[in-house]
Amino acid sequence: MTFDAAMIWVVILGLSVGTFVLRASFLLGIDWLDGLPPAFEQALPYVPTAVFAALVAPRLLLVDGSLTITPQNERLVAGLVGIVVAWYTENIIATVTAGMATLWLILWL
Amino acid sequence: MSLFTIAGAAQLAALGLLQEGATIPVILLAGLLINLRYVVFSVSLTPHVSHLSRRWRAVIAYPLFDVTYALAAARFREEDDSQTNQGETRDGSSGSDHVSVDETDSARSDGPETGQDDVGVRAEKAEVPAGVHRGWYYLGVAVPMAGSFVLSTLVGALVGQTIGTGLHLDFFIPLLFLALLVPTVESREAVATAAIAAVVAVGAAGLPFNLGLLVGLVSGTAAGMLGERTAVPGGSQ
Repeated sequence: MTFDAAMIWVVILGLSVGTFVLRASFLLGIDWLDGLPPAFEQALPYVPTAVFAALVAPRLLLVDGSLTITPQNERLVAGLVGIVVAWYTENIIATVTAGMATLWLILWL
Repeated sequence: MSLFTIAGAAQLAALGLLQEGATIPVILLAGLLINLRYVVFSVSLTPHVSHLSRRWRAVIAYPLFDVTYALAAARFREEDDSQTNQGETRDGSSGSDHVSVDETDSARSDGPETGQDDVGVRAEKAEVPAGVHRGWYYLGVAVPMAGSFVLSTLVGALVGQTIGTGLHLDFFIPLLFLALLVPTVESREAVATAAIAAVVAVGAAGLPFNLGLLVGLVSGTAAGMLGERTAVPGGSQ
């Protein structure tokens, strides 16, 4: 650790406060607004779906940063098994178990 | 750092930049750009918890990151869907379906709030939804999550690189998001949302500061809205 300790604390403090402001922006800001803008209201039903899809897709489709849609991409195969299980069971534990088991199986074979 | 910020990607970026000798404003800007997605999480959760006191909402905001958002959003959305089984938005206008749990709870949440009762729509949303208190539910998710994040950072700092990545336990996270994603894809618009968000997030994955995720989720959300507007009335689902 060669950095100036004061500088590190400034970064930690700045990031912490700034991040809290971002997180609290609407959760607390709603008290000063007359409700959410209508466009936001309309968008909200799709936000979780979009977040999950945007989080999942790169982790399944990218291998070392490049698009890999082949059976050699173990995580894609395991993810597809996870999708099927999630579709039929709508159960988080079953989905995660099936996906991890598939991944381990492929890597072990 | 983990304890105060609770944002892995931003912390790693900040440390990397510190090492490269970047100046403080650059480091802070980079970290906050990475965390810009929390604004979207904040908007998304707001209608579900607007009946809670300001103090509760501050508590919810503090450990709001990907996993806590995911679990809370999935749960609250499902509850609100089953309560207001009609209308175009899930917090629609069917106030009659809401059941006040008990008087003290609703009294407390209405207490120190300002500007909620006099706004028609808002007042409706401020009703206490049936079921478990959402603040406590959220804490039940967030405390173990944030706690294990902080603890494992500490363990990582102490033990270092003696543990390999042999078990691929990191794959747990995308699987969790998958399990949450699939049940939300229940309409034509949601399919469009998921597809566009996925394609754009993959395409934009090269962007710095985790901005690919933000671009992806905004595009996906826009696609869903667009689908809703262009849909033949009653043609969806």
